[in-house]
Amino acid sequence: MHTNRHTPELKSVIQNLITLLPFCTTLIFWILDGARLSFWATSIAVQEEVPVVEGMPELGTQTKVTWVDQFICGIETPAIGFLVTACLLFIRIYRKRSLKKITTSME
Amino acid sequence: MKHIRFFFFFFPVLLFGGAKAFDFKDPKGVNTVIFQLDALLESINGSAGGVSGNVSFDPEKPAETSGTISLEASSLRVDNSVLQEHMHGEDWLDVQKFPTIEFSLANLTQLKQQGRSLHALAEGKMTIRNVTLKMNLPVELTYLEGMLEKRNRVPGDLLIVRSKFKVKRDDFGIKPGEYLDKVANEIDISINLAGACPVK
Repeated sequence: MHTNRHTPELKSVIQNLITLLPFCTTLIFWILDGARLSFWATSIAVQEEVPVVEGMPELGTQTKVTWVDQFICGIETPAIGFLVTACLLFIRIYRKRSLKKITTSME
Repeated sequence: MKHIRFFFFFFPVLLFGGAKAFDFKDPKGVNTVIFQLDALLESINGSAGGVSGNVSFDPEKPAETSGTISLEASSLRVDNSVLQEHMHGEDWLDVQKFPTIEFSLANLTQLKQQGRSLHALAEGKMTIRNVTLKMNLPVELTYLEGMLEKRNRVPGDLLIVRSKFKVKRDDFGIKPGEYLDKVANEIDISINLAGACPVK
């Protein structure tokens, strides 16, 4: 009896969580990748200071740049997540309203 | 007749004897040009490794330093492959049509010796996309006599050229006044190059 009373609420909470999941997941990925405000990156530049003459750093150093292929999320990732969440939310609201309409017409 | 022959043979040596030709094509692949464009919406960082060129440098007459430093436009690299394609494309750098970016050094002025390094203003001409402009760049030169052997296992000298300067893409006709919110007009360039003069 107790579970029956709470089931619709629990179902709603789960549905809300599923709706928010795309945005939350993409947001977490974006933050973990350094919260870049620019678009995605397909490689990263690894800069290393190497002595001009090996073993004699007092003579100065040069910056050696090595490019490593790696995907890094950009600002578009949470934006896509937000759009998906918005679409899911829209579908949920639309379905809820159409269900309400059906029940009222049945009554 | 012998004296004339002797004179013509040694005249160039006497005239340019002190100047040494430094080759900037680094077999170690460390010579890199680093650039940054900081626009309102996007910051673009990249590098280019296709450096070559020759600079004639005389430690006794550094003001007469001259030569050319070239950069393969197709070696410019950024962290996004799509952005890189656009940058190399017809609308921006058009690397197929204009394969090199070049700085032609005429001479050095405002020389100041600071420890091992020589600070100066490099007077020359910068060519990007076939547009040539006069530019004076602040440079730091470090001449390392006999140090090539320790770097490249070849006897000779090293010349290190460092510089930080700005270039405006507007000046070189690269989409002037367009996309300024995403692609900054001012490009910060940092170079740190080692030139080699092997003993012949």
